[in-house]
Amino acid sequence: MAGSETPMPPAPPKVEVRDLRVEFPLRRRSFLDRPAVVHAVDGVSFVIRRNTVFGIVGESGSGKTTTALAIMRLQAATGGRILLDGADITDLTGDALRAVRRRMQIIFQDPYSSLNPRRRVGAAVREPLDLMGIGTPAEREETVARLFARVGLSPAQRSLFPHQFSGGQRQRIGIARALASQPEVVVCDEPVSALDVAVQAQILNLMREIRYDFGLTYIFVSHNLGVVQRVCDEIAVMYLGRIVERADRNALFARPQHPYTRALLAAVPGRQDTGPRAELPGTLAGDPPSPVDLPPGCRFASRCPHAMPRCRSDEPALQEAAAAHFVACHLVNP
Amino acid sequence: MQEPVLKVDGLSVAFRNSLAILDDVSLEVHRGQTLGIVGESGCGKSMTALAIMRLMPSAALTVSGGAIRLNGENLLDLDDEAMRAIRGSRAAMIFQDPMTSLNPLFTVGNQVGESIQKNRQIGRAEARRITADLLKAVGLPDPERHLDYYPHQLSGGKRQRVMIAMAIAGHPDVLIADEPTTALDVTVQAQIFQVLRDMQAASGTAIVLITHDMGAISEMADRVAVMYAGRVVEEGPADAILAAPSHPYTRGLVSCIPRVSDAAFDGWPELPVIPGTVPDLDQRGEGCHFAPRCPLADDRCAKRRPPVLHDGERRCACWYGMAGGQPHGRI
Repeated sequence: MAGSETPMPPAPPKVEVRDLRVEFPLRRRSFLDRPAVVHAVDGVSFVIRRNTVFGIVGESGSGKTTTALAIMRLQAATGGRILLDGADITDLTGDALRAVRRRMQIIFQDPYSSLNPRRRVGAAVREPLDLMGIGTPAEREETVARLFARVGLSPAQRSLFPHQFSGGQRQRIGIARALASQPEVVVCDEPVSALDVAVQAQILNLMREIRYDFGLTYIFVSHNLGVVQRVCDEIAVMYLGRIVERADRNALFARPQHPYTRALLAAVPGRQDTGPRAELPGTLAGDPPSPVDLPPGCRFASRCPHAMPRCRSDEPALQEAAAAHFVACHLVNP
Repeated sequence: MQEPVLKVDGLSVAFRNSLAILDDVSLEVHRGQTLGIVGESGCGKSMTALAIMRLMPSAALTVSGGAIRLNGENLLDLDDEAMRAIRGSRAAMIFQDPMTSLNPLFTVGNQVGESIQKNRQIGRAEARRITADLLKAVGLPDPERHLDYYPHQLSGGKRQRVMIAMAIAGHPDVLIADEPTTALDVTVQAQIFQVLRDMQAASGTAIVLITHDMGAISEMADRVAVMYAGRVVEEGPADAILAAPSHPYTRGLVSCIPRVSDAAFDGWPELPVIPGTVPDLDQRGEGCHFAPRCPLADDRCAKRRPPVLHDGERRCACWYGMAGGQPHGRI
């Protein structure tokens, strides 16, 4: 299994992303203005191996959700390639795109806003099956009942409405709906961030079980580093649209190399093993710069405690700094 | 030991005079210290804060017993006008979402300045100067420029700094912070915590920090009170409770939240859980409210209210006692 320290033949690639770009044009205030563009995702590449959990972490505005949505073809890529099982899906349209979408599903952060309040939850879970015409109506209904039982709900609850469920139960419904089309890849976008603390662990355990049962490959988008450390095999750290570090999770947490990753880990309050009320080491100052007018050079330079003159002129490339440990930093890769 | 700045003594709050939202809550916080209050949603953390500030969100909620003493004075004895004078001066509160607490139509300088002028006989220019100093104290770069900004022009972290500036403008004896960093990124959260600590070191303000984040507690709190379904189930020094929680609920809470660890992991480990959810207001029986979810619970736990046991600086409300932080047999 990926993530273990013992060398094993790596699983074949499930998803490949090559130099992915997503740009959003901004409305010009006047026709004289230069057209402004937000580089939400700006040249991101990685490989996700089958049956592994690939984590994307970063703060708001880092482009982690946009990256995941672009992989699912729910957000148009403005550059780069996306491959699923080796086949290029970047430009698929029509039936071919629908067929690919069936293989990739998403679990959202807030299941309440992703469920129609006037629709019975059973129908919401059945919807993907209806749309894709899978099985007879009776078979679909049976599949939905089975899914409800699988995610820890009673099949009789299919006839209720979203507001009759707690947040944790609604997330179970969201998971059932994601599973309905028998996907191979599931994007989990902050799947437990909106849930109460005790419910988070319940949902994560459910996601763990179904991952093994259904043989899923997860793309796990989160800002919760404690969760990411436990569930992800490999992790990419994003900052302002670029990956600044990518490594096996144990290497990343034990030996973070990029100054941003170090700052991010240092900012987590109350690590499990350190003493209480430890002094905050090197609290990062300021906010990230605007993704519209990015300065030349390294995007992190304005907040980096180690920035050198070169960092403000040359953008560092993501390079292998140790075995399978990639870092985009002039300090690490001189 | 000197008297606590804030002493909540047996506070009970009832909904429609029958259902207990807060049930005999006792807490205290000393000058220069931070008390953390933790628990799931629906445990009464925020209600405790609002009751202390006498900001009940509904007329159906009434204080049915107890006292709230600020420097010895029972706030429950004060009339509305006297209470208004205390809010913003001797007791202040900051909320999770600063955008909803700031008026979008006024500049930062106007809003913070107004809260200063409310409590002191000074002119606008003087208020503006003090505001700039406050913004500087909470770590806003270029405070003069920020005076003329409207809230929507600020990032979430900067808005929360403005809220803190406004809260500390009246030099409060106690500052209640209700999930002040929940909506913020982790690096910004670290900055806000640093601001609160610096402010506390400079002024000696007592802080009540309400959170569901055990990491925040270990970072910030001297003492911690764990609330469950309207009651304090465990209270004591934060380090001791996090290291060896006594109450089964605290133990569940501490273990079910994954914190960043030095350990190496393999695969996706199953996480410890607290099964079920907090009972609704009308589903809380006579006995221990946690009994339906508790691995240790028996008949007595379900039927009779557990005693509050004291062990040195710690207390714990559980039929299964406490010894060295571990529950042992029946008492």
